[in-house]
Amino acid sequence: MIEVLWHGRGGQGAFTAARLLGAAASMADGRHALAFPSFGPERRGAPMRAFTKMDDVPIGDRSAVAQADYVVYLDDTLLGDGWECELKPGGLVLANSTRTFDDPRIVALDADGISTAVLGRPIPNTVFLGALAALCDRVELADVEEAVRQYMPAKLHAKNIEIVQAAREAVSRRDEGGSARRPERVEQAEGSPVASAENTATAPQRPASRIPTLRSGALDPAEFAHSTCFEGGYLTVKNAGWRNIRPVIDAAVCTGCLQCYLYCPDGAVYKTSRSDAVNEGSCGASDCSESFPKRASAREESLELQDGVPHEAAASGRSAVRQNGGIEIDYDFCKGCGVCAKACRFGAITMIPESEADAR
Amino acid sequence: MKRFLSGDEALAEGVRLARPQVISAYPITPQTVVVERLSEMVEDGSLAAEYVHVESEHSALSCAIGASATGARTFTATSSQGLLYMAECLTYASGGRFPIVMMNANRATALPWNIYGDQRDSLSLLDHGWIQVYAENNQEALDLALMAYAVAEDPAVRTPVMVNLDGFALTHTYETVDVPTPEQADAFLPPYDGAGNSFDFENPVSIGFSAGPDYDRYFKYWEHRDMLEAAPRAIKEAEARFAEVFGRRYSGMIECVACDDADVVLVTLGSVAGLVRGVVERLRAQGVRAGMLRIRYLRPMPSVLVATALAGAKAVGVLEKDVSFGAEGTVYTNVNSALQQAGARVPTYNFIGGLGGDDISEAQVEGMFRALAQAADGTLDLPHVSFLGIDSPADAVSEGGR
Amino acid sequence: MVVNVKNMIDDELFFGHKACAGCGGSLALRAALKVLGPNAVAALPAGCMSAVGFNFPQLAFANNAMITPFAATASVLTGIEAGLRAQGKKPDDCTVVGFAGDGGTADIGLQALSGAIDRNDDVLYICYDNEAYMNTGIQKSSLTPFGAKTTTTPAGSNVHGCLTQKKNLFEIVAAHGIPYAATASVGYLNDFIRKVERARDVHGTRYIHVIAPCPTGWGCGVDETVDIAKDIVDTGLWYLAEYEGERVSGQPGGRFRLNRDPKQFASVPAYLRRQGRFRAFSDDEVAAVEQGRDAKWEVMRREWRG
Repeated sequence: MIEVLWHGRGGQGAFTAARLLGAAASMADGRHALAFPSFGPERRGAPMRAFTKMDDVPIGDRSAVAQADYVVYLDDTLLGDGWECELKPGGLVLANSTRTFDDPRIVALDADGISTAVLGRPIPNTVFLGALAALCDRVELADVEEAVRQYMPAKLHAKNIEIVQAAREAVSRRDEGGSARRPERVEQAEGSPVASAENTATAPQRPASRIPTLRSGALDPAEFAHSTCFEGGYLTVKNAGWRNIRPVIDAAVCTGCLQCYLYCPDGAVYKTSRSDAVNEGSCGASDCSESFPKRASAREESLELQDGVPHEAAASGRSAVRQNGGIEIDYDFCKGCGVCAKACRFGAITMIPESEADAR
Repeated sequence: MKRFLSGDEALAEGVRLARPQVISAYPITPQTVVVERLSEMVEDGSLAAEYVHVESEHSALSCAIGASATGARTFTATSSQGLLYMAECLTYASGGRFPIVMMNANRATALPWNIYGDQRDSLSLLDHGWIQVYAENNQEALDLALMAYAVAEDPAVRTPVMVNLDGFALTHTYETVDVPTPEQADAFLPPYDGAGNSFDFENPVSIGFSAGPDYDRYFKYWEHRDMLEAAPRAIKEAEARFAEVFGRRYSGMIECVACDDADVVLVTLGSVAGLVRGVVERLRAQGVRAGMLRIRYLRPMPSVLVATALAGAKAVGVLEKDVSFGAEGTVYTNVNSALQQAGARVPTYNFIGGLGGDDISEAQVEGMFRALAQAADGTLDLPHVSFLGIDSPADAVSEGGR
Repeated sequence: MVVNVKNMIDDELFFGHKACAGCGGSLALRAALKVLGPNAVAALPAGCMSAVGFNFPQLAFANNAMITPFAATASVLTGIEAGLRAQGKKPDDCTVVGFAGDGGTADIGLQALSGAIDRNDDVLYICYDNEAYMNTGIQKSSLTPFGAKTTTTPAGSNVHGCLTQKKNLFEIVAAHGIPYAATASVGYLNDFIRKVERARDVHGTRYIHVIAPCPTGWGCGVDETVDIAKDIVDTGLWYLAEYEGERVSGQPGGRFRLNRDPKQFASVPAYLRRQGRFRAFSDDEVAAVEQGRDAKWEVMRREWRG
């Protein structure tokens, strides 16, 4: 049996690819396949997995694949420590990446680039169908094309078949050239306790006295499983692994108006000090005259008037908060949605790719 | 104090003595009198409880769950379709380990629509994680209201208890009941301490979360183990203390009547035991070695006790007001499993009767014993499952019939 | 004290959850709990916020919180409130608050909600309305608006999405004579915060209906949640209003009040076209939506002013 383990983020189409691969691999008589996603509470943007199993006989084992012949990463930020444990001997990792890797078992493929060239935006999932058609005897290009025709909406057929063909060629060419290097970097994926440790090390203390916090103690079922009552605010994983872009605050432009803090769905923006000292009548006091998300100039004068209402709080808040270090972003729990960047009418928040953040 | 009360009223008296702090009430025949009496007790001040007029059975149990999560002692009551309507909430209550006590007036389930007694309702929900106990008479109904809280709230048990009363045969039938004093009841039943399974404003908790494939099995495992192991111990202790305080002693999870040397034993559940008890006495006087095993607690299932009591018999009948359509009576399945696990090779027969309020007659009970005896000595080809009043050989053997 | 962004508590009572990036529902919960504080006791039925909020051992509520059967948000709230009161254990600053989605409120939970309002139980019920069953993957609820594509109201060549109009739950709730009810949107978060604060201080049953966009289900960018939640108000397709029952308002039959009355509505076509779920709308259908809006506003402007 050939097993494929797909890593992606919710919404990236990992399961669609797993399903199309299964359909292709079972197209011929006497060929069988299973495809299924992992089901979890995590949502769009969160790391998720999907599985394809292919064999000459009906497959009875419907459990998750622990070790695969091919492990696909639709997002190379998910490729972290422990990747080898998921690989069968002789197995291959296929990663959507422009990086080069020092390990012959990792095949990097610029799936974003290949799909963008055809679709105008990066949808990397079907790229790997072409890649597998090149690498895996069990996957025929014609069957992949037929699977695309049968199981994707008609308007997507031509472009996805083009992507599949381009990917197959890219991989075939690569195989001939052959390049092998060690993995460029080793990191933890999926919010494991050491992820983003570099960020927490330097981040100021959150002022919250009541906030769910990360714990690491062992959990003994004989202790916890006699009821469904457990300490509130007990966290075991971060959400950092969900993100491939991150907000960065430009302290020189930030006025301390706190709209990013107010509107963050994850509570990942926090004040580094209480701003009680700031005048009453904050920028949020006038309910229905909020100007969000209109952008104003970052120039100080523009703070004097906001929809005709004096806006001294934002101005005074600026100095008060900045003096104390302003606001910070908790990168352990930021999901990179970008609501804060939109909420900032001063343009003080920029969303940058994680790879760029790593480079900084 | 001796009083002449219906089963519903007796149960309500027991609930008053148990001092629940929140009662959620929704009427359904034949449970209605319970919630009526309790509302009167709250009105006249003899019961200090929040009485919530919920708009459905689903909300009745949900409300009890919410209240129990605050550490309050809670009570609700239902029957038949109402029990089925709240079925979803049964697993929330048991999985959440909320020690709610609920009275169920055993009643037929639709269709046809039928308000009379049988045990289809509670037996169809036997697997929902509740301790299930069945009363034989109104005194036991009252006493069980108190003992149910002692068992449910035992820190090692923490499991809801369903106290079952046969519809009409108990709920609407009056008999003499000794109603204990509040002082006695208080001496027996301490206030509920919900610490560890209730909201805590110093150290907030999450209650009733979800758990994925990595954790769920542990919760289910301990829900099972705690009922199987802790509940029988708690039942035994509660009955011992009950006897000390009130002078009435109960027999544990099962009651055996003349089982020791019996050739033929009839297994019963609920109020029909009273009838069978009399027939056993009469048959014994005639030299027939008859016995009765009354199952009081069907969950946790007293498998070892049942098998031990039945192992020496030549034929065993299981009489129940229930059928699992397309299979057999649910009690019968459980009894057979107990015997099989114990390696006891006793022939067993299922008598299904009393459906939809149909009376089970003395003649039919005698007929069942005689049919069992004939099956044991090979003179009657008794089918394993038969319906009283329709196709059961017990009807013919009973001569006068019904 | 008027709660605002400057003086609100630093505590994050709903944090570390697994909601989608840019989830409007999680923003509503976070903001509401910042007003209600750490002694709030929250109850959540099956739905997005419970699914992402407490999955053992990742428990994202720092205050007391529990899960309820799907239909039972309001009745569990009732039980919690009654239980705390019966034992004298309810702190003065404790609000018993429910957070349920649109399906959990307007469909399966409506009976229990109606019962709680009828009893005037002292609870706050907050419906975070993302206009479909999002937890199960975007199926139509009775709060899904006309024309919206969901996975059970496909937008094909025969039928363009949801055929029914959004149920008018705010006025259904108000018709009970509830002490306090309000509509809100996470796009106007300060308005929502003010209403949560108002509701916190009213005795009896309170209801807040807050629009909370779901980028996944609405087909918009994850960074557009707040923007689009503002847009729905500015277009007049949603409105910010309050109802105070007779006891609170002193007016027989209670009183409605419109909190925001735009002189000019923002563009409905622009609002609809920015969302994938309305992509199949024809121009006629867009015009029908605008007509429905105008008819509604005519009534509100006549009867809900002052």
